[in-house]
Amino acid sequence: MGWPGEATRALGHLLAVMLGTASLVFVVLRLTGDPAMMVAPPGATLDDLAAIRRDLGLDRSIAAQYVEFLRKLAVGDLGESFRYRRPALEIVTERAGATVQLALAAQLLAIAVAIPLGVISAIRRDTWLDAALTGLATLGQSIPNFWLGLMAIVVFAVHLGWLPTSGRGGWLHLVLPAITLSSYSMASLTRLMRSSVLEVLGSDYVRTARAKGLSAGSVLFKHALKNALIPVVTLTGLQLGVLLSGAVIVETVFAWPGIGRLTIEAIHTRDYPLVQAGVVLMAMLFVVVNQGVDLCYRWLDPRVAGRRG
Amino acid sequence: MARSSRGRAARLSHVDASAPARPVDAPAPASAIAATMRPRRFRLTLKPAFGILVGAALVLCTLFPDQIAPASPTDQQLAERLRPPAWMEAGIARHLLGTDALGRDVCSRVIYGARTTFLVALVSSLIGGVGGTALGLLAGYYGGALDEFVRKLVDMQLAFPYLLLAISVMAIAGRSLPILVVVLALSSWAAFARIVRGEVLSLRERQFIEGARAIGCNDGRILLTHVLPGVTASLCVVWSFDLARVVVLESSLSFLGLGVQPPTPSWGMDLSESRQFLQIAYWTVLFPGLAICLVVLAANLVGDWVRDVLDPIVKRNRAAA
Repeated sequence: MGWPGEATRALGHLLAVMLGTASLVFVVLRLTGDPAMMVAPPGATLDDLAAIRRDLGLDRSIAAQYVEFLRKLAVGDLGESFRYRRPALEIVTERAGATVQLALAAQLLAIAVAIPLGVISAIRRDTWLDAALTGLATLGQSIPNFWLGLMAIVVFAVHLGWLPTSGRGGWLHLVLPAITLSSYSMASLTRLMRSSVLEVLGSDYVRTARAKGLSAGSVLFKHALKNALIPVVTLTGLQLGVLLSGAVIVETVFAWPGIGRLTIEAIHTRDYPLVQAGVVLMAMLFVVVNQGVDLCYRWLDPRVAGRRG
Repeated sequence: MARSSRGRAARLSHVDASAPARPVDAPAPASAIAATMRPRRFRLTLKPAFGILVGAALVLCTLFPDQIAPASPTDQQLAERLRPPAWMEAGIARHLLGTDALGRDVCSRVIYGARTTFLVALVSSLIGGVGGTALGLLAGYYGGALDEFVRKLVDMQLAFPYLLLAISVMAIAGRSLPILVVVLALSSWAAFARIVRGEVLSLRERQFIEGARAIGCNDGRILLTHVLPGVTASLCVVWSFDLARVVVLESSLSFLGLGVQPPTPSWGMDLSESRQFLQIAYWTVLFPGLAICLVVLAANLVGDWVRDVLDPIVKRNRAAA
């Protein structure tokens, strides 16, 4: 299949996944409770409930409701926030920038730190340095990010006073949340980079490169690194889900005004349209970026197209 | 040939790799399986020792919290609130790890919290594990449309930011323990299904399966008594990593106020409740979090270790990541 065919296929997949996600949200919202009960003020009578149901279109068949839900979704209508009295999607979109900034910073930080560390760990294999780095990575994978964030606040904001505890402002505000959010990705990427470099260094073409007298540095940087990076690129794409999930928590810990914190606040104030909009937008964001990464990846490594599917 | 793969694989492991008398049907996979089935040495190194230690502590705290904990986890003594740990200036021996904002003993809450975390994680990952394994077995064995469907489902599940879904379900369906367990179990199955499916794909082509079919075993019997034993080793690995993941997910949800609800003690919830006192009483946040880290680290280390023991040659990059 050629490049345009791939793109069409990816677009179809994208639409299918988006439809699937939206349907999932619909199912979760409709089957797990009566939305009218959530909307209704305390002390509402049965008549009030019936009126609310009629208002929300809940008196119609599930199929009709589903079609209506999709139709509204297609034009970006996710209802009005109870609390802010404004279209939910609008509020959520305003906060998207903060989440994207945080996620992007964390991902870049993870890549910038993990690749050198993984390479060092691999070329110094079975030394104390390798043991220390691998141990650190295992630790990084095991510390839940909300706790790491809280501890970082205690140490760097409260005791040392170097960085602000929370909120969004200058780049200093970004440091702690970004490090916290990136910890898990950084650890996984380091471990993957290490094993990937080891694998490539053991391959035939690297042996050939060595045999023809290239220096170790030249073998590593000109020959090995490129191929070693392929699995890392894959994981970077796959980790987006982890990163977005993590963002919900890290935003809550650091009072970072992104979609995640907004959604959690909306849950506590029982602002369901806002919850729905937050979840749908994050899911869409995820799907779109994920497909983008996938397309880039197929372009970077043409072998993938044949290997998958 | 219809005997379990264990005997045959073990025999193969003693065959010199260069020997010509190697069965034609079983090249590389046989040695991999041999390595899977028969770890040559069982050395108690740091990783499993740590895992066993933490595991034993968890089990003890789960079974006998009343005997271990110095106080009740819900006993409030407002006069004693926010007392620092015993080794600090204002600390007293009675509250080894200090008290929280309601004057509850932090040490006791950590001990009682172990039961919640352990049971919730165990039950959810067992449910998810059994479901995922069953799906993986069927998909790998029968192939076809079912396989295609399961694979798509697994891909979707593994890629999706599951916490988002968990958040919406817990927020809307209500915050009860059974719902929490279901939500966690639903997050578990995919990893099991994927690994099991992959293993079954190669197992089903082996001669002992063909032999079992030839002597008239039905599919159910083949799957349960011939295929399933072949995937147990990988299941152990997946399961330890999954336990670690479920513990983090449960404490994350509890931290967001969407998991375990008061008065049940839970590490994640303790963190969330004590957060506002972070600046003046860090110990209320330090110790429940340390407990989570220890359990997750232990499960991860055990998973690493089992994988290394079972699979010393093949580096499974994906599982490491």
